[in-house]
Amino acid sequence: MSSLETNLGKVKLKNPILLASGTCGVAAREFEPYFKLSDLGSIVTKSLSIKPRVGNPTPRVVEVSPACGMLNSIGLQNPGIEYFVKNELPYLTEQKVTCVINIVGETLDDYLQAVDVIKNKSEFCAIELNLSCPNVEGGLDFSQDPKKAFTMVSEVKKITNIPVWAKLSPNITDITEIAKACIDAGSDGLCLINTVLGLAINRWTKKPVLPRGVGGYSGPAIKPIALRMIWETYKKFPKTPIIGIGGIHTTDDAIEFLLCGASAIQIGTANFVNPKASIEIIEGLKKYMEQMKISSINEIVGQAHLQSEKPLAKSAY
Amino acid sequence: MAVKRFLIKAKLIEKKELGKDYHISWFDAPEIVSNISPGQFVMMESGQYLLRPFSVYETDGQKAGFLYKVIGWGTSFLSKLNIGDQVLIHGPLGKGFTYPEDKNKPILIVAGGIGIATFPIVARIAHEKGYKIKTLFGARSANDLVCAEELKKYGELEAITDDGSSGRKGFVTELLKNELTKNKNQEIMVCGPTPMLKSVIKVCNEFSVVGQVSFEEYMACGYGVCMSCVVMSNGKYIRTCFEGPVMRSDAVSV
Repeated sequence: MSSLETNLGKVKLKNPILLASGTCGVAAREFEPYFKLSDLGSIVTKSLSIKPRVGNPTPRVVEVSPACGMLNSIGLQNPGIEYFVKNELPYLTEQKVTCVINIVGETLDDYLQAVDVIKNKSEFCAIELNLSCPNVEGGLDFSQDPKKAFTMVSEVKKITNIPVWAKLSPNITDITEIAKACIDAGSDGLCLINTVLGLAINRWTKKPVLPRGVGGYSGPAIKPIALRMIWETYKKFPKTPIIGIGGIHTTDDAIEFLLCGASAIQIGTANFVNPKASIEIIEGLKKYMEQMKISSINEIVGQAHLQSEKPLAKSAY
Repeated sequence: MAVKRFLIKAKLIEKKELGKDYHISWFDAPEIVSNISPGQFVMMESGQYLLRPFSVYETDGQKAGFLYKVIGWGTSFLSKLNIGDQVLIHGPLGKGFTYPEDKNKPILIVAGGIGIATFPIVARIAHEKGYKIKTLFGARSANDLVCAEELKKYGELEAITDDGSSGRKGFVTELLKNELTKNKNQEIMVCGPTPMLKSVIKVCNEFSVVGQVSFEEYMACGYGVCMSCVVMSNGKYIRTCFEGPVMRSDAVSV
């Protein structure tokens, strides 16, 4: 009998599939017509801030052809963490979902105030710190400066016992520097990766399509970028659980992420195309495990590194 | 009542060209047909990564029909499909139009351009329910007045074009003002490009009437999770795909 039970340090999930923040509404209520939320490993809430945020003007999305994915600039629209706790959290509890709460802010103090609201609540299996939103002023600072990342994670760890995951940006030269800072500060896991900075131009208006110019690139095209960053991070820090995100659409994608070093994965943009993507991947993983006679999904995490213990080929000059 | 949603592979069984750039594609989609309410939409495979929103133009037996103008990737993809091809359809989605409780209240349809595509089903069902219907239809030119004949089956239709090539020259808001001057007690149902919707809402506000307005915005998911397709309502952004696409004219800030 193969088990999908997933170990992420202190966090145990029934399977390794989560819905990614910003791709499942505020509290994933919209999935009700498609499947039971409790069938998932967990869900990650919309990024929540201490004060509600209106979000950016439209257009907020633009597709990247041919079939590469999309750019978004939502601007962290959310009803605020207090509203969430009062009006959305009871729904998740009723659905028997222990969720991951994603927290965002503009300053360190914003984050700490938001964490303070939920620091003692047992309804959350982890806090995901959004250190990497490209769509607000200063949103990337915390994941581009190791010192700032260190301060953020260690200050949050001081006030809560809920496991803390840092969600990192790919918009950096060496992701392992930030990863190290977060791990040194006590981060219980790392979520890799957030969206990749991109831009689209409208040839008729001769202007960028999105009102802020830049947007966050997501979808199938960013999968290799995510895999590369997970690969590098796992290689240096094999003991820190990695939650992989970036262009995962099928079971095959999910397996690749696990083999690369992610202990769990989040389904993001694929939800937009297929609301049942996450559930189909869980079914697909079960089949793969039976086929390959794998008893626990945790066994395959990082296995691609074992296969390449001999150094990978160097390019010839 | 629990919301019923379907993700189906639907087969194209009939297609028809209605003059330059306008097409109707009919899919075998019994699940959609038996659960659709007028003004709702579906997300359809587009040849790109994301699906595209299409309002349901009419149903016929087990077939769901979509009327569209070829403008971008999605509509071009749809127009090039062959009979027998299958595409992913997700729906029905969103909140459609509501018929007035008072059966004697006439329905006034206000359509701009390809916004007409949502109304044949709305008008047919209204007609079956016994409402009196009138359609005001504004388009760029005579060639863009598609399916006007079909709507005339259910009631009077008055057209106006930007270039005067059919009907009067001008904008549909002029026709609406005339109508409301004659009778304010009409159930107004509107669909069209955003600038036209905004002008119509201003006219509604001027006459202190509340209309039902179907919005169109860029969207990624179509079922409320991505927060892309928002419009401003009382200082907050609400989702076109979930709280809409049909919204009260007094709920939307213009």
